[in-house]
Amino acid sequence: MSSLLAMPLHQPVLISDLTRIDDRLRRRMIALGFYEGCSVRIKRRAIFSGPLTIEQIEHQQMIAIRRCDAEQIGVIVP
Amino acid sequence: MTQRIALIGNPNTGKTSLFNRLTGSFAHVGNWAGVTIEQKIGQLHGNIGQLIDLPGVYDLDPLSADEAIVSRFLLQEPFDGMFNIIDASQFERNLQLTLQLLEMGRPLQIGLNMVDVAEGRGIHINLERLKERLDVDVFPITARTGAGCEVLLSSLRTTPREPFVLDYGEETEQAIQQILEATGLGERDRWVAIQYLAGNRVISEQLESSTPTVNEIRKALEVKLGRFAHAHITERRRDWTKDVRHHVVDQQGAQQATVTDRIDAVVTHPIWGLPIFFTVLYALFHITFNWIGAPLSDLLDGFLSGPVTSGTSSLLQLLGTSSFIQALLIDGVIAGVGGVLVFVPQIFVLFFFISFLEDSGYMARVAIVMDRFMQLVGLNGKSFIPMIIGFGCNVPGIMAARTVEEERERLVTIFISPFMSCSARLPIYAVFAASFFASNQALVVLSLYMLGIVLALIAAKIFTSVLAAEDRNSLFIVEQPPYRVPQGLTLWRSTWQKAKGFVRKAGTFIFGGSVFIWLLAYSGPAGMDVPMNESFLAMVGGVVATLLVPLGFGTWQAGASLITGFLAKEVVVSTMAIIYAVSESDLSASLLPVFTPLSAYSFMAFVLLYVPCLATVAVIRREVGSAKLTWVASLYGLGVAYVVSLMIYQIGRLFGLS
Ligand SMILES: Nc1nc2c(ncn2[C@@H]2O[C@H](COP(=O)(O)OP(=O)(O)O)[C@@H](O)[C@H]2O)c(=O)[nH]1
Ligand SMILES: [Mg+2]
Repeated sequence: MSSLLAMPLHQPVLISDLTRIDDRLRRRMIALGFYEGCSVRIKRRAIFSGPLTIEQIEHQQMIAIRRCDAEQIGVIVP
Repeated sequence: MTQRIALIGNPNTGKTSLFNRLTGSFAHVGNWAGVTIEQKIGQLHGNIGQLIDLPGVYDLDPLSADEAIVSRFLLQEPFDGMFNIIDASQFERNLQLTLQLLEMGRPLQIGLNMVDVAEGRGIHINLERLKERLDVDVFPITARTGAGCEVLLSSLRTTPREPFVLDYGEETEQAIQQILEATGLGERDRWVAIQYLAGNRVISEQLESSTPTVNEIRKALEVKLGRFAHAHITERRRDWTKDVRHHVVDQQGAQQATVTDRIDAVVTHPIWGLPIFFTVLYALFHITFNWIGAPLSDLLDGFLSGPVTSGTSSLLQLLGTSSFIQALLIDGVIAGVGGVLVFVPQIFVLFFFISFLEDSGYMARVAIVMDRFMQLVGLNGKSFIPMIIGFGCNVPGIMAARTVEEERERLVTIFISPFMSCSARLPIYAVFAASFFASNQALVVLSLYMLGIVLALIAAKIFTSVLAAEDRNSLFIVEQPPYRVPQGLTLWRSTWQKAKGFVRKAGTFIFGGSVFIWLLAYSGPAGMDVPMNESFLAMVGGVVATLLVPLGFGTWQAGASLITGFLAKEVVVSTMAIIYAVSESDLSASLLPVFTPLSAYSFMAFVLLYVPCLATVAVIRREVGSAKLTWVASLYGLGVAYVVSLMIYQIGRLFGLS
């Protein structure tokens, strides 16, 4: 398992671990369709280590989260 | 009979658009999570009741102050029915909220919105099957065009429904029953127990204070499940939504790069994102002032100072009114109110662009582009949106801070909001920039906006370290909705919604203020019709003026207008117009001998920073809920303004500017 942050742009990956991020962030991610087991990819990285835009591929849902949080999200490459 | 119907749904699903379709009045519409910042109530067509537009929520468990409004509404306020608006193109996500609403068992109808977007993506939803699965009425609508909206309204039903029951598995069902027994709730309130187990903060607070044993029931359940109860419940719900989707949604066609992707590739570009954002801001001001606003304002001014003034004065002479009345109307009311009215076109244009940005979806991108910056001062990218809204008016800006989840960040955002240069300050800049910086007005005005932003950021840094240096929590997650071309009619109406307050103020506040100021200028210790220099206004202004000398504008006229500016910033211009007894275009000429470019800039900076207007102070009081903090938020600007203007003037002089 690796961290979402380390994934290359546009590489589809499966979220495998959301337990290490802040409780409220996890809930909001789940409410937006980013749950363990879903397939996501990084769409964009903002400059100066700004937020990442990630997409829930199946739902075509996009959110932005910070890199420090993305680092704590575990993913596996299918 | 006034039945109350609530609009509930995820952010950006078109609730406000529907609200605007179904009610006579027009609430503000925006395309970024949380634009509906407080509940708006409108009369439904045909007077069958009231429609309440609530902020968007993803879940009944609130993370931010605006989401808490919804939870509190559902728990505490009386209402007769709900319209749940679902975004058909994000069906599964929306359904999670719908399930929670269905479990509540209150009268509910579903408006399936954005069907056009869904079809464009090859998503087709089988309405019959959906109705059957949910056991509730579903109406396809397009809130943007109004299609289907009247049907939804005419089939409004407020008869009670049976709560929807989803089986959460044996252990959880037992725990639900135990909670109902312990709290004395009936089967109809099953949803309360479920929300409790799912970790809803508002419900937890209520239940745990009245019945502490519920906590043990939950812990026992978690031991049995071997995981958190909320994790189990969300998973069950997700399985259910997936299953429903599987049954009712038919999706064909592969994904292709959407317009949104292409726009995003540019505006959130790692390198170009930031310059583009500032270019957008600059273009906004340039168009507002140089291209559209200024010519229109000149036209209006020509009309007011020409035909209106001469017409009124000949009419008054014809009627044989006293010279007192003539002076009051011409020099007081027309000069004062007119001096502000001429800026209405510019303010409309500015509000139009802000509405456009909000409605397009760009604001959610601004949050990304600015997050890194804002983090440096202890805020987050979301705080920047209230700041931009504050460019229109600080009052909605401060209310929009509710979407910032972290309480510390919300407070700091409110504190720095008054530094955002609102449209009421425009008339002042416009007069001074036109007189002293005629060739680069937009640049000078933009520099003031930037000054406000920079000082706001510095202030944020200081407040953050004072309020809670050790509390480093920050929550940042922003939905990135697809871009949508704002709809002309909605755009116009939301512009009008915001700008009409300004026109109304001109008719009330500024009218009254003008009469009062004129009287102060007309009378003095020696009686009526005194020379202006011996008036009460000159006396009061003179006291303040001595303090202002080091800033470069130590005249009683400046002092008096600044005092009156607390009522509303644009009154500064009214007061000056009255004092110099001229119309707006001649005001420039009267100011030329009194100010230099340097002292004019120092004055503009002072006006930008010194105190929030009365309405802003009132909203700060409401939002921070503490008199002490309100005092701090209202008065620290005065010190900042003094220091900044002092520096501008004195350093400018050192460099030989004048
Ligand atoms: N294509 C399309 N866009 C819509 C529809 N309804 C609303 N919109 C747009 O969706 C955005 C969000 O709408 P708004 O009413 O502010 O949503 P709210 O956040 O739920 O109040 C706006 O840009 C609307 O113009 C619709 O049926 N079709
Ligand atoms: Mg809304």
